[in-house]
Amino acid sequence: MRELPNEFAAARGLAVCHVCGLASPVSAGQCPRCRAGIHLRNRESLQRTWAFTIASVLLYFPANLLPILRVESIAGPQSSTIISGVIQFWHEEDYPVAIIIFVASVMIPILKIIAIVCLCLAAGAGWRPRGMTRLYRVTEFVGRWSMVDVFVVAILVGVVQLGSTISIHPGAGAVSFAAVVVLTMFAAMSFDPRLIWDAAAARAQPAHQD
Amino acid sequence: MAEDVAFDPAQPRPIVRPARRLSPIWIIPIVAALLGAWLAWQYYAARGPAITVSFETADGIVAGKTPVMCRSVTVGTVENVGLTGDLKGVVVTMQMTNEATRLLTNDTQIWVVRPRYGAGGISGLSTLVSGSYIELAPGASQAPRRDFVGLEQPPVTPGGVPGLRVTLFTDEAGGIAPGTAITYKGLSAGRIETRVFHPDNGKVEFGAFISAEYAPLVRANTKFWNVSGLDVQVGANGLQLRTGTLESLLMGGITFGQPSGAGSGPPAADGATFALYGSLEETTKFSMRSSVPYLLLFTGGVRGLSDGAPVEFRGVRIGTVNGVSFRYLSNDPERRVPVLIQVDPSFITNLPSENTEAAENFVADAVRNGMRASLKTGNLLTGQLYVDLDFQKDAPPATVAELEGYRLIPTTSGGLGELQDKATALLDKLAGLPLDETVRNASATLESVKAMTENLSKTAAGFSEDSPVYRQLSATLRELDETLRSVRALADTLEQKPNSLIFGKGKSTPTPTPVPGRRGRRE
Repeated sequence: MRELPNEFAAARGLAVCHVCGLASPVSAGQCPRCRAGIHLRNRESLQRTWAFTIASVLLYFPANLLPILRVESIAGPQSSTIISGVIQFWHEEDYPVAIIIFVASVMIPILKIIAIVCLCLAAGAGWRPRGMTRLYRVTEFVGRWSMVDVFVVAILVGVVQLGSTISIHPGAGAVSFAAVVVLTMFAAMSFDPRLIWDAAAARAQPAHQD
Repeated sequence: MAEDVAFDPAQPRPIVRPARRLSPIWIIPIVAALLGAWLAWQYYAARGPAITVSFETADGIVAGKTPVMCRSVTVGTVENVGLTGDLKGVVVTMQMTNEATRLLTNDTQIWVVRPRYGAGGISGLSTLVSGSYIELAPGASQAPRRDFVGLEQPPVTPGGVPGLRVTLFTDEAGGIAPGTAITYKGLSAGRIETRVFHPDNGKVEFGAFISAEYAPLVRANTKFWNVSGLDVQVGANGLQLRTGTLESLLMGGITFGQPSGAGSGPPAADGATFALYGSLEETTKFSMRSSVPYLLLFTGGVRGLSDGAPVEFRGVRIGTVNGVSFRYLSNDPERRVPVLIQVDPSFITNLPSENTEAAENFVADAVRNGMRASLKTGNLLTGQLYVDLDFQKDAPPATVAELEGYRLIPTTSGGLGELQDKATALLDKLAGLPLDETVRNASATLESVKAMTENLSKTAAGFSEDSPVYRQLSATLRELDETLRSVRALADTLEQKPNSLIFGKGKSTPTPTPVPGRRGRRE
């Protein structure tokens, strides 16, 4: 493919409709079948990805610093952040639970953000298209699993409401954390992987012509 | 058609338009940044100042968990618990909420609420389940403060409760401790809050709180006394047993009242100082403050006069003997005995006892009018003396003189006192005589005399004229008389005619008998 860049559909002025998948001329402006707008690449893909990524980075701090859960029991109120929960489980020697929470709630969001940043940079520079493609697929797949924490909080808040004995309330951290996860998913979705190959092709072409 | 278009090399290549313009998607990171900033602001705005409180022990305080409460509203959380630099206590750092800033003033009281059993009853039971928490009682001051010294015991009365705070001092704590109830006519009127011992003057000082309702009853001349426990008195009326409430029986109690007869003085000010008497009786006997000292110089001995002996004016107590020692006046050439007395103004006037002038004038007037001090025996059995002040009829004019910083009340020569001493000595001697034995012996002697007299009279009765013995005796005597007469005749005959014993009686023999019966009767 790299040797035959002219055989790209784009080289022929064709683009695939994002909605129904019909390949049609870009110059037509909209899909002749479903009337959706057609573009060669996702619109403003990199800008959108960067914007979502930066937003998620900004919210990552309150997500980890603010309490995600507030437990009010007879023994007094107690609020805990994600990290304090991990530390507590670790001290109670529930190592598997601590590791799961740490991986799902701390590591994965960070790695996802790093991965998206890498993809954005690669789309500009055209690094190793094959590896970057795999990274993209993993990123998109893993996104939804980061919501484990949010689900746990939602279930606890709904179930554990025993009045003055014990009751659980979500903290500001939970909202921030959910926002981080959603924003990283948006970022991964708005990223157009074809940019990687475009950049790779653009980098390879001058070398080929020379 | 599409294929034609697709494969027509003449068709222009699609315009690849790099999106140079700013996408509206950037609103999302801006919103996120605003959201994050708002959350951070909210978090830090709710944080008030951090304060440090030192305690003796951090028992029950958990860093990051123990709440700080004010009237059961959480106003902060313990952030850190550490030892003080000298390792003699703990320093608890608390992160207060923003709204608690106003509570942190100079006289704010902070203590740890734990389950406690004390004078005020059982408290802090809820902390058995919830764990200890730190209670904060705001003060009235406005000056902000961040470093506090925590109370080890909760304050007896919460700060801000209206009432009167007075100081009581006494020589002996006598079981009175913070929390001891102060009652008025059996009703709870306040509590003892603090107890401090002053080593310099040996007094125990109590901080007392009187609730606002009873505060007007505390006057400048009010007396406080201890009603702790049992009061047993054995007197002429028999055995008297007096107790206060059960609480005062167990934990001691204090009550107060006006001295009988005295009117109500001006209301006591906040922080006024009062003496705490050991009992109701003591309030009339001792005064502990602003008495007026006078020196008395006695020429005679003062044996039997001890410290604390009463000083009476015409039989009414007005003071106390404070000391008998030559050190008050060591250079007196006459070696009179100095006796220091304290005259208590509160026994003389109704004014507050700080005002001694009235009492001084009273004494000065009395001395001008002939008042003299003398020693009198208060108790004949123990020989205890007291100082009596009374007007002497023929007293020379005198005034209250000053001598070496002491005011002198002139004394009488002690004639009455000496007389009494002599009388006492006489009585002592009388008491020393073996009267009992003497009387016993005398009565025994009288008994025997009586017995003898009876015997005599019985004997005499046996010899009366009517008795047969008497008649027999007189008959016998008559016979004896006749016999003797005949014997004399015989003797006369024999004298004149000794031979008649052989030759018989002759004729014409005269018989002269000068006193014939006397010899016989003498028999």
